Amino acid sequence: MAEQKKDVKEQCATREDVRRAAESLSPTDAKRLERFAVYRVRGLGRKAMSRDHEDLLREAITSTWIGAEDTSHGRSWRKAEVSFVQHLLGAMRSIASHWKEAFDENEAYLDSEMTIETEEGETRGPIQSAPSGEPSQERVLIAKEELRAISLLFETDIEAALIIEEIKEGWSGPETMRRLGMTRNQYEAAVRRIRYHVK
Amino acid sequence: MRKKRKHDDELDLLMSFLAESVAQMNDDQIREEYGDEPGSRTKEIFKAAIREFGRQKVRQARSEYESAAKALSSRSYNLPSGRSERRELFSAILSKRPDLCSPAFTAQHRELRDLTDSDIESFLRQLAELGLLDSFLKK
Repeated sequence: MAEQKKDVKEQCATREDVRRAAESLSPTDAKRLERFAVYRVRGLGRKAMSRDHEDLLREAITSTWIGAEDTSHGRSWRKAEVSFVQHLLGAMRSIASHWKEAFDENEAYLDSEMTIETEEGETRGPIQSAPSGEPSQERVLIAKEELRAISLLFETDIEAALIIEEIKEGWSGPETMRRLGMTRNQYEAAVRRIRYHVK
Repeated sequence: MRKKRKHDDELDLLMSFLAESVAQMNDDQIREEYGDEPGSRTKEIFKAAIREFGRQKVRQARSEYESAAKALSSRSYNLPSGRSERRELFSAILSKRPDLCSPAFTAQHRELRDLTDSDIESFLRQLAELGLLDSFLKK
C-alpha cells in the first residue's frame, strides 16, 4: 500500500516540473492550447459568465500548480502517463464542464427562487416558458443567432454545411463520414474550412 | 433520427468539436492554419498565474497572521497587572524553561532592559495562549 502511494507520488509532477514544462511550451503547443480554450469558452456562451479563454487557461494551470502539492484539491499532472499539453487539455475540458454545470444549477435555483404565485393561482417564473434546468430564452436566442451566423458562412460550401449539421446532431466524425458518404480527405478538408472561418 | 437539441447545446457541440479537432492537429497543421495569427499569450498567462498564486499565498498568510495577532491582543489572560511583576515572571520563565524561548531571543534579551514592556506582554500572552503560563503563575 505504502509502495503504491509512493509510486503514485512519483508519477505526479512537482511544481518545478510544472514550471519547467510551462516555460518550455513550444509556440505550436501554446497556440493549440489557446485555440482549444477559445472554442470551449465560445461553446459555453453565456454559461461562461463573462469568463474568457484566458480565464480557462489560467484556471487550468493554477489547478495543476495546486495539484502538484495537494492532490486532493488541484489536478495533478501524471507526467509518466500524459504529456503536459494533454494534461492541460483534459483540465480545460473538465473546468469548462464544471462551469457549465455550475451555471445550470445556479440558473435552476434562481428561477425556482424567483417564482411567484399570481392571483389566479398560477405560478410564474422570470422565464415563464423555461422550467428549471432548461436553457433561458435569452441564451437560446444568442446561441441561435450565432448558429445562424455560422450557417451563413457556409452557404456556398455544402460539404461543410452538412458536416456542421451532423455535429449539431451529435454524430461523431466517423459516423458523419459514413452518413454523408465522404472520404477522410474530403471530411478533413471541410473541417479545416470550418475552422478557418469559425475563429 | 436523434433527438432535436436546443440551440445552446448545438453551439456547445459544434465548438467542442472544433476544440477537439484543434487538440488533434499536428504541429505542421497548427503552423499552417494559425501561422499568420499573432503569437499566443499562453506562456505569459501561465507565468503570471503561477506568480499570482504565490502572491495570493503571501497575502493569505499575512491576513491569517494579522487575524491571529489581533485575536491574541484582544483576548484577556490572567497576566500580572504590574509591569515589574510581568518582568519578574518573564525572568523566572527564562531561567526555568529557556527552551520556551528561541536561542536568539534568549541571547539578545538576556539583559531584560533590552526588552520593552510590550515585548514581554506579547511573549506572556503567547505562552498563555499555548497553555504554558498557568504552571508558572501557580508557583
